[in-house]
Order: sequence, then C-alpha cells, then structure tokens
Amino acid sequence: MITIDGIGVRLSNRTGTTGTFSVELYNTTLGASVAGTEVTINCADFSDSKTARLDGGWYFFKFASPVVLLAATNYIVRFKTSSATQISLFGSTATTPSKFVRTTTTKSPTTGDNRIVVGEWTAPGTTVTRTVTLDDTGAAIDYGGGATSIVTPALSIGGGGIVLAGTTASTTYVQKISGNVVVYNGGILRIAASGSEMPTSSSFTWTFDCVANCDFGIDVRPGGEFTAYGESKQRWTLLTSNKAAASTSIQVVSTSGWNVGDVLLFAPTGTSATQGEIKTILTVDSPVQVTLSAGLTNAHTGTGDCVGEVGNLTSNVKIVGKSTTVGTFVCFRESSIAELDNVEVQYYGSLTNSRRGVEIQHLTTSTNSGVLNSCSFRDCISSGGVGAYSNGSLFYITNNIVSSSVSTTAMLFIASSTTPTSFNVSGNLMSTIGISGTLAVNYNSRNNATCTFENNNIAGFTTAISVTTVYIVITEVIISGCKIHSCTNGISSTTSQKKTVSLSSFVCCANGALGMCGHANFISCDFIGNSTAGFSGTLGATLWAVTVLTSCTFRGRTSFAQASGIVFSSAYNHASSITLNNCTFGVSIAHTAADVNITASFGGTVILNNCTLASTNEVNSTAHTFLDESALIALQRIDGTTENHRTHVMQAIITPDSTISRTASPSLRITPKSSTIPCNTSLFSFKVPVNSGQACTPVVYVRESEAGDGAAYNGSRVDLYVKANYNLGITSDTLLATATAASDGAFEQLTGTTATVTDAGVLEFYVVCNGTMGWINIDDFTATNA
Amino acid sequence: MADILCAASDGDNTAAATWQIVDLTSANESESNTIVVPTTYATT
Repeated sequence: MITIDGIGVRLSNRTGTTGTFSVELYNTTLGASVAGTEVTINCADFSDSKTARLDGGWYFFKFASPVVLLAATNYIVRFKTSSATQISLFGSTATTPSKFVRTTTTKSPTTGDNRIVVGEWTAPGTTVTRTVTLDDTGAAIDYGGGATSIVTPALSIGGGGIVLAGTTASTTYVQKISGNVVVYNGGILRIAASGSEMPTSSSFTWTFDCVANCDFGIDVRPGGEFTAYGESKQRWTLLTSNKAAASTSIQVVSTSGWNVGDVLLFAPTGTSATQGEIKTILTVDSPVQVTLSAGLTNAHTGTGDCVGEVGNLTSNVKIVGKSTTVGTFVCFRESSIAELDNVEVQYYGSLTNSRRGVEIQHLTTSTNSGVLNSCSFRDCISSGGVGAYSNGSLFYITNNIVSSSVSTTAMLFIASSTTPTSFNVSGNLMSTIGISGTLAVNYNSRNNATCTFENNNIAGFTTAISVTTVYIVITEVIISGCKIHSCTNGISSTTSQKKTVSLSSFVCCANGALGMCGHANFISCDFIGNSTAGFSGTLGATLWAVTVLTSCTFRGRTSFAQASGIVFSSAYNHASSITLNNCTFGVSIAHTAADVNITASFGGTVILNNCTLASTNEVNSTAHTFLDESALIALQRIDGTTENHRTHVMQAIITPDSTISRTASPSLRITPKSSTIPCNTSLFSFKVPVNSGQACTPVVYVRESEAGDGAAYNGSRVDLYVKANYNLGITSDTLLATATAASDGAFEQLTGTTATVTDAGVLEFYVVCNGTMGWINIDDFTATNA
Repeated sequence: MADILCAASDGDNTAAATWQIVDLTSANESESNTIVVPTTYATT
C-alpha cells in the first residue's frame, strides 16, 4: 500500500483567470472519486505562464489529509475548470497529463535523486511556500539523474518553492549536480542576500558535473528568481608601481576584501597579448599591498601610459563547470529576476542558444532588469561568455572581471535588434591569461542616451571591441572612458553604424583602431605605443568609412615604438575619408615611420587641421606615389602655425610660397615627384562661371624654378588645360597653352581660349607639370568670357 | 535506484524530514503536448 498526500501537475498556459481549477484522484477500478483528494484553487492563483516560455513548472495540490491507495486498484488524476479555456497543462500526449503523486515516505536525497521544490496549494488563494536550505558539507553528493533536457531538471523550483544556500559562518558548503536546475515562474533560488552576503569565513560552491560541455546549468524562466551574493571585495584595481618579472610584493590602489589564497589576475601591459597571468596571495600586507606565493612570470607596468590592472578572481560563492573543456551555463530568461553579485563562475559557455554562458535574455518585452555586478567570470569555454541579448530592456553588467585562459571567442556579447531602453556595461575588466583571445566584446547593439558602455578595460585579445551591429545610422554606438591595451586590434567595425569613442586609450596594440567602417568619431582618445599604428585604415572592407578624430594623441610609448600615427596600408582604403582636428603626432616620442603613412594605393582623403606633427617624417616620403587622382593628404595649419599648409596629391606636393610670387605673396608652389607621371592641379582647379554661347579666356602666370632658387625644375614645360565638361560641350580635357623658356626663373603668362560652351555652367582650368627636381609657381589667375 | 523527491517541509536539504518520495510510476515530465483543462472531469 502507498500513502500519498497530494498531486502534482505541470502548468502549460494560463489563458484566463476566470473561475476555479480543481484536481482530484479518481479510482477507475471502482468508478468513483477518491474522497478527500479534490483540491480547488482559483485560476488566477496560477502564475501568468505561457506555453512557449515553458515557465509554468510543477503545481502541487495537497490533500486535507493523506490518502491510502489500495492494492490492485487503478487510479487516474482528473482536473477541470469552472469556466472554459482558462488553464492548460503539459502532457506526454494530448490526453496524458504530466503528473505525480507524492508519497508520505521521507528520504534524504542521495546520489542520482532529482528534487522538486514547489509551494503547496490547498484551497483558493491558499498556498504554503516550501523552503529548502542547501546545507551540504564535506564530500559533495552528485544529485540528479543526469538528464540534459531542461524538461526533466535535477532540481526543479516551481512557484512557491524557495531554495536557499546555507549561510552559517565558518562553513564550507558544497553542491554537486548531474542535471539542470530550472527555476520556474514564481520559484526562488537565493544564495545569500544583499546586505547579508555569504560570510567571509564560509563558502558555497555549486559544481555542475557535466559529461559534455554545457550539459547542465541553471535556467531561470520568466518570473523565476536567481540571486547570489558573495562577500564584497575590490574586484579589480590598478598597480601603483612597475613590477618586474619575479616580483612578489605587489602594490595596488586597494586590497579591500582580499584574502589569503585569493587568485589574482595580472593583465598584460606590453605588446604581447599572452602575458596575462594569475598568481595566489600569500599574505595581505596592507590596504594597498599583498605578497604573492610565487613571483610574477612577466613584468607589468604600474605607471605611465599603461597602468596594469590587477583582478581578484576569487569569490566565496562559486558556480563551476567540470573542466576547461566541459563547462556549465546560467541563463536568465526574459522577465526573470537576475542578480549575481560577487559570484565566481568558472568553466562556462557554449555555442548553443540559451547555454551561451552567463546570459541575460530580453527577447521581446521584459519587466525586470538583469544585474551582473562585481563577479569573476573565469575561463569561458566558447562563444558568448557573459552576454546580454536584449530587445528593449534593462541590463547592468558592471565592475566584473571576465578572464580566460581557454577562450578564443567572444567573452562579452551585447546583442539587440532594437534600441534597448537602457543598459549599463561599465567598469568591467576583460583580460586573457597566458593566451591571446579572439574577441573581448562583440558589440552588436544600438545605443541611445540611456545606454552606457564606459570605463571598461580590455587586454590580451586579437580584437578588444568589435562593433558589429548591422543597423544603420539612425542611432549611435557610444563608447567612453575605455582603456584598451596589449591587443592586436583595439577597436574595429565592419558595419555602417555610427560610432563615437571618447576619452579612451589604445596602448600597445598592433593597431589602436582598425578598419572603422561607417561613420566613426574619436574624441580625446590616446593612441600610444601601438606597434603598427594608432589608427589603421579599413582593411578589405566593403563599406565606406568616414572618420573624424578630434583632440587625439598619437605617439610612441617608452620601450614600445609606434610606427605610424595613422596608416593606410591596404588597397581597399579607397572609400576612406579621415579628418583629424587639433591632434598631436609624435610629441615626446616620435613615430618611427611617419605621422601619416600611406603605403598602398589610396583614393581617399586625409585632412589634418591644426595638428602638431612632431615626428621626423610627418608624411612618409613615398605617400604621393600611392595617391590616385582623387586622393589628397591636406595638412592645414601644421603645428598650429599660421599659413603653414601642405597638400600631397598624386605625384606632387602643393604648398603656399611666400618667397616667390608675381604680384603679392603667396603664390602656389607645385613640387612634382615624377618625371614620367605628370601631376596636375585638377583638385585645385580654377573655376570660372560661363553663360551658354560664351568662350572663356583664362590667364595664369607660371614660373619654373632655376638653380638660384635652390633647385632647377627639370620637368616638361608647364601646360594649361581646360577640364572636360560634357554638359557644356567640352568632351575632353583640352590643352590651351604651354610655357616656354621664358618661364625659367620668371613668371610667364599662359593663356588660351576655350571652345564656345553650349550651356551655362562652370569651367575648370588646371596646369600640368612633371619632374624630379625643382618646382613651379602659379600666380594671378584671371579669366574673361566673351 | 534514484528517486524523485518533493520538498514536503521547510528544512535542510540533507534532512530526511524535508523530502518525500514522488511516486515514480506516475511521474511524467513531458512538455511536448498541451492539454486544455475541460469544464468537467474527464475519465479517460
């Protein structure tokens, strides 16, 4: 005989809240209801669960008193509502509901057992919560039947069910599980509490004993709650002095909350992305100093242009996978209640949806925010890592460390297909340990004024931040105050989304910024000691790139040269337009190649306004050889000096000449750079409006330099051309005049008359020269129409 | 053989008094079908 005290069924959908729901045990052998087993509640007592969200979970209905089941008798569970189509239940078939009966046999859970914690309903509006405290210590029992399906959890926490972690002082709590923990709508899983964090003398470790990666984890359904609070501590800080390899005495800004045995992360600070490392605290010497149990493997700078970060990876609340290849996950579904504070999560993440890592989902609408604060996320195994997948709701990812010695993929993923209402991703440290990770932040989201991505430090990746959202320029990605170092590429973007990066630094990467497609603004950023360049042009991108950098600094770093301030080294840079305002290049530590370095064919424009160019090579000496007819490098007010302008065009350099002029200073000096490829001034053409039926007669004076000027012009005689204008009936560039020997050392007039134009418009005139020595001057252009 | 346990009292996880065994022959945790609850008890 079996004695039971209640019935469990599984909620699929609360369609309505009208009337009541009843359940009972029915004796099919006798054809009669079992007395004392009917329990009725209001339909409104069910949580607002929906089938698609799988958030209903178990509902348990407790009898007034236990009932003895008879031998050789068949029973079924029956249910009804007083109003039609209010409640749906899950079942294995369309007529077989998911159900259980609870016996009165007690038992301590043992290896392999699944557990259900759920409230007990006894009457309309009447329920009793059930609270279980996870108090295991010593050798962990491996609970759970090993099912990877989230339909059959190893620990099911339904509405009215509360699972707490033990919080007694000086206790080492353990949990181990083979199976998923699912928190359904109304279920609560709490590890300590805000203001009553896990005692420093205690710890709670929950191990997910997966067979394959992300077999098991914690799945928090809409309306479910999972919160966890480890002891508060300074999650990461900064070095205050340079540390050589083998150093054991470490000075930092704060050691608040740090303990003997805590594991510290030292981010790489040089150009090597693989010099991040972990060491263990031997003693906490003061609020600003610790001693390590073993010396540092690599040197880390704590002063100057790159102040190294030191993170504390240890927490006394831990959620851990099995190994560096078999991890776990935590998935907060839409409208769940999510907060992890000072929690350590180690070995986690996969490519599978909802098992990506530690993830906050807001897929349609959401009523709650998700908070990940001051946590240590260690050893992300695969893509996703710590992520927020949001369509218009709130999430806060703040002051955490995301570190890994095994990950090669995105460690922080922000995704939203619409503009989120609000989010805050700030104060996080992302660093690898002994490896170069592929990507730290996959920024696939729009911002708006209430979204914040700031003060995040990133080190040790191929790419620190990749802005990948495909949405166009109707909103803006805003990044501020980030410090990125020791990566291959500090920031890159392959999409057209408008981006603004301010008050950030890019130090000791290969490229500070690389391939910023679309529209990008950098304001008051530092590009220092990046081995290739502070800013590198678009590489192989298919989109246009318009970049403006204002008040930015480009230079080398002590012991770490920066070859170029900006470089365009790819033939795919043709659509690039870059403007730099009030920037400094090579001040204190010059660029070893050039402040502006063009090393591949280039059809874009580079304009520097009021910039200081302090390197030996302001523009690389061969830049003009890579410019096509539409390209230019315009340096305006160089070093902040009045009338100090210079423009590099295809095979020539154009400057104002205050020494040689015909009537008034300055004239225009053109210094050709090739004897075989003529340069022309078509980018600086003289423009003359004309009416239909008129011809234009331009007059310009040209002068070819002679030895007495410093160098004799050795090119062909200067030609004066009118540019083709199909609308006006001039179908090809047409030679109007050629200089003679009279232009040697003296201004000679060049003039000619165009064909009569067939429509009103503007004609353009330019001169052509070539050569490898000397220059020509142009002055006093006038024109008459007749 | 492993069991499915359901919390029946507030208490510690390790305490036998906290848990009661769920009838294994009745447990069914499928979420593959949805059954609309009828307005009268169905005996099928």
